[in-house]
Amino acid sequence: MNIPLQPYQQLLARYLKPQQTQVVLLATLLFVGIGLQLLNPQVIRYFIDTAETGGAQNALLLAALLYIGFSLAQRGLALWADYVAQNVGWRATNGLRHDLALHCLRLDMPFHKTHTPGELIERIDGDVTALANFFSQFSLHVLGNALLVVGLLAFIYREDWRAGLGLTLYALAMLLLLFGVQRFTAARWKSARQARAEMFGYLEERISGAEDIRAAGAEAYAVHRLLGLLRASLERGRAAFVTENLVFGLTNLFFVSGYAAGLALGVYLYSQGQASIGTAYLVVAYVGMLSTPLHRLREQVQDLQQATASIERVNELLTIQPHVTSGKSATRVARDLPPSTFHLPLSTGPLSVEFNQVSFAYDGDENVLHDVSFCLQAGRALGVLGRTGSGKTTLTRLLFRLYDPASGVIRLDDNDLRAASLSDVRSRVGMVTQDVQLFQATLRDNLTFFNPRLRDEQLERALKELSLWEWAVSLPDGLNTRLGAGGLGLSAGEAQLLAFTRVFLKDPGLVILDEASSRLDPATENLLERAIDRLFANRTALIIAHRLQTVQRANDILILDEGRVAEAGPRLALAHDPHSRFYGLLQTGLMEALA
Amino acid sequence: MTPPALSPTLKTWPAVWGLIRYQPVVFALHTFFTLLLFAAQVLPGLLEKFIFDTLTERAPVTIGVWALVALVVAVEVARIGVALGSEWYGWTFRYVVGALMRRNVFVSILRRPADNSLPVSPGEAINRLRNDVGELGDFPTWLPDQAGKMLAAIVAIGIMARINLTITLVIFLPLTLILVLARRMWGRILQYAHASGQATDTVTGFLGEAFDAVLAVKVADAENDVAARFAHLNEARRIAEVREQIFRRLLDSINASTVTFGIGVMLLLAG
Repeated sequence: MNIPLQPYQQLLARYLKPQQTQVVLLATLLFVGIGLQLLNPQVIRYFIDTAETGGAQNALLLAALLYIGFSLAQRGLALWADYVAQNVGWRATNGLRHDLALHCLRLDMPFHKTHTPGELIERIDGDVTALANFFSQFSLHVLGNALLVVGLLAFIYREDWRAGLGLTLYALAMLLLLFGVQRFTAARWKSARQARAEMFGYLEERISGAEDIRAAGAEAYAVHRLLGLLRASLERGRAAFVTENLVFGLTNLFFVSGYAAGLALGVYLYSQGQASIGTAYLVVAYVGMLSTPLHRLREQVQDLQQATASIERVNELLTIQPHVTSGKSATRVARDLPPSTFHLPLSTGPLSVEFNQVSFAYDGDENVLHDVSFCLQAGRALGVLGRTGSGKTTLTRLLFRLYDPASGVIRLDDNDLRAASLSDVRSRVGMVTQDVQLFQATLRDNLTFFNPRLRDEQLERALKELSLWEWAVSLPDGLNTRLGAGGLGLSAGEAQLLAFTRVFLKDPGLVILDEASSRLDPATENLLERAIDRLFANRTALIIAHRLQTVQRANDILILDEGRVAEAGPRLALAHDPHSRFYGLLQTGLMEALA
Repeated sequence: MTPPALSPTLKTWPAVWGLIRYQPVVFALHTFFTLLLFAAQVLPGLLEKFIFDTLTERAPVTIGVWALVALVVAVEVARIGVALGSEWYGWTFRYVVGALMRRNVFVSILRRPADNSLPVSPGEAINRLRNDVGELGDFPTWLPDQAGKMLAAIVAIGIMARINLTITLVIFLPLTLILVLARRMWGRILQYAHASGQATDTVTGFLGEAFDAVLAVKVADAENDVAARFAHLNEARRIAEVREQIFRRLLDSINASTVTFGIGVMLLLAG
């Protein structure tokens, strides 16, 4: 077994350093506990010898009390150590969970397209949970148990060096045996788990497809197959279980043989007059105590092997780098940028937008945008029209730097987007998406997106500005109303209103509105109209519109067709030009043409 | 063998009894070996006592000390054999009755009328077939375990009482009290376990939502705040989990202390 130590050291240093004092406390508790464990048989020896030689009653009483005291102290210490260790383990793993979650959230969309939430939960929570013991106990337990073994042997050497030597050899043989058998059982368990997984996999597949099986009249065959898989699972599982028990039994036999040898040794020393009956007991007790730390050492190493697999997966995840990187670290993406463009702060007012011959394709697919160029002056509103799949949504994603264009340049306020910091761009650009995702959390958390720096007064002001305050206070618990699954459900329009508030709180210089295509009730529609009025005031706006009413707000119009600019210009001019596509759209009815 | 018809609503004890009747021979063999295994637990202690008595010549030397040592090893070998027997039949029983239940459920799913779809998702159905069926199949095999433990305790108490009745009584009266106390704590632990389970659900649920809505998180530039909330939920989980674990250990520790306590009292009274 050859495990490189560096990744472990890095992890331990990073997540244990903040808890230094706790770790020192834990080490102290463990070592004092070991000391007590070693001392207790000495007390019993004294007791037996004193009793045997008819010693003073007081001495006996003292020894008995000492024994009880030591034992209770040992348990108390063990419990305390456990408490500290659990906390250290959880704090360390929680730190790692947080770092991993943040890292994954920051990874770009192509990463999230290929990794499902379920997989990420497993890797952030499952893999890390397997590391708790590694953080809190591994080093200390290996050290502690090794020390315990050494201490036991030392005490036996003190009684008789031949016994000490014999037991040293015995302990070494035991250790080799324990590590040897582990490999033997692991393979059988793997095969058993595989059989079980196959059986449940078959069940899930067939339960999902129960209708097809019925339709084909294949019930009898399906049940027959299941019985075969069940039998295989029984046989392989039983083989693994019995092997483990046999191996466990044999190692136990080895221990018992050692114990018997210890007994014989005690008997021999006593009968030769080289030891008192108490000393004979002492030797037997120490030999008996050897097995536990040896087993623990094996457990810890087994645990380390499992932890290694987890650490590898964790590190693998941490080394994935986003393709879209912030302008702050522009040196790494600067290959195709002129050296003079560095991170520039975006201005506070409305932002201008420029697309210059932008082409883009999702990960090796066909181009979704071809040479798209347009200019949107600060403070104006642009209506983007086009059929589903014409590239409207992609356009907004590029503006947010969720992806970078394959070629061409996007400028925000005359800055190349790739040179600006991601968080600068995303805090200056606000977007209301078509589908608004709600968290199982309070209305407040859903509005602030868990930003604790936003105070309730700010929320109130924003909601009032958007004429939503009455709606918010009409909810069962006001801002504390729980939304999402198990809580209050919102209509599509209400969800969009919530998204408006999010954007309004952010106070961006550019607003992107991807309008919900579903029909709204008149009351919500009214609220939405007023919210849009407030939101667009003194901001640049880009609207993906589905309703004529919203299109009327646009100063300029851009029509996309299969990723190309089909038409662009001021709305009024286009609306009065009978040869324009926009004119045609207005005539045939926007809703039908763009559905 | 035709599987016994299980009524549509399964009652615990009739179901357990039905499972035992499905495999009576395997269950009987498992019970036999398990009882033997627990009864045999008192043997090593008796042997040790005999050895020490022989040493101090309190007992007449009927067999040599070395023969006794050999006996210790022999007892262990026999114990391993008995343990294997218990495991073999226990495992067989769990698997065969598990297979029966899984097969029955599978057949009933296949026989459902076409318009009557399953009330749960296939994923949850598998979860039930895996875990709930496993639990129900496990349960009957615990019965001999409990009986065996009781048997071992009775034998041990009997032996101790024969050696010294007073010490036995003095040890067992407080022990009973401790056991009653431990039993009370158990309810509390279940409550804590429920709370920590919920804390875990909240954490994983939140993580799932965050990654489902990762686009919205990015658009809102809220990665840091979302991660901070995740850390906050994790912190709540740490507190719940540690509380549950420590209470469990405390209970274990109290149970284990009874042994120490017994030895200590014995030393005090014998001294």
